[in-house]
Amino acid sequence: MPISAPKRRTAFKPIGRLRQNPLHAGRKGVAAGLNLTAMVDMFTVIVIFLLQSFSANGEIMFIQKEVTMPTAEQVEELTERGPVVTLYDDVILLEGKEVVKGVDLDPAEQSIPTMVEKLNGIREREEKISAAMGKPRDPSQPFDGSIIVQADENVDFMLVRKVIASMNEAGWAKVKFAVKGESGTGEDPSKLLNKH
Amino acid sequence: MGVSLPGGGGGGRGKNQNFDLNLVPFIDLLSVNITFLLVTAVWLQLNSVNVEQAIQDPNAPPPPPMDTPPTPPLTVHISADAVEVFRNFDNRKVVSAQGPDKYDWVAVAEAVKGEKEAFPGEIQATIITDDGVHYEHMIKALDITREHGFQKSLLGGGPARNAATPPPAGG
Repeated sequence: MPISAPKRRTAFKPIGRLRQNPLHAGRKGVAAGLNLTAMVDMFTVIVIFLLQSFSANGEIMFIQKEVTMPTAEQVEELTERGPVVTLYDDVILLEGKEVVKGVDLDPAEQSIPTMVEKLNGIREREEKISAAMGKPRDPSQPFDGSIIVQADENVDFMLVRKVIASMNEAGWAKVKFAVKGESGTGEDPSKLLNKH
Repeated sequence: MGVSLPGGGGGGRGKNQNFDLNLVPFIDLLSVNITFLLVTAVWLQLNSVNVEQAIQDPNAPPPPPMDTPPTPPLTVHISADAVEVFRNFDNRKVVSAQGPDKYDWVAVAEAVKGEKEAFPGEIQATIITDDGVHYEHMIKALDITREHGFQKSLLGGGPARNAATPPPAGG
């Protein structure tokens, strides 16, 4: 199509607009109308998707970037908050703070004394809080608190064993191993072999 | 977005009854909703495998002797070379490792299933893991025993032992 220099428009077309709004004097309006319907549709779809994936429980714990958690099928939902022990490589953290390194551990010792001391402190604090809230612990019953263990799947079991022994020594009997739940429980057993 | 009311039209001579809905409040509301849901979204749903370890009270009186000896608990022992499934160490089923850090969990699951069928009422399993074995294998063994109805689990472990030596009783 050849390019031609703009010419003066005929008065035939703008005459209607001139009648509607004399201030525009027949010129074409600059403001373009956006079609918002598609945007509202998209927003509605996003809201529905986010509402479906919404979890009322919130985030129970912060996941360290170094930790790849193992997967399991027979799992329970992790809803209750508790002290978190994190294990990866050669490091043991309690509530995000480094307690000890694996190389510093005494192989002959079953538990980790530093960890026992810290867990005892947490247990005593929780018992004081319960007592202050009017629910003191029955001395004949064991302490009811639970600890969450967030360990990397490739961590040496020796570290996990020492952590569990430390928990037992400090009176924490309930251990929750944080895992990624596999969707669906009816998995083909033949797939198990290929995973490992 | 236009809404057409009944009775409109009329060949263009009457007043146009189509009107536009004001979409701006809708967009505001949806934007606020999206922002809130995005901020509070939990992208990784975490689960847990729960184990209650028995803490022995040193001052507790010893349990009374039983008339019939109890059935020994199912033991799954994971070592670097194999996974052993047994109640009685002499009759253990050995599932050899298929390579470094690679176990045949299907065969282990079959052995656990066989033990459950032999003693359907038993729900206790002891998982013994040697030092040096990766943690994920303990979780896998725990998962398999739970899958076959062993709801009570005890965990144990220690330095790798000689294959001919039975593990300590009860983990």
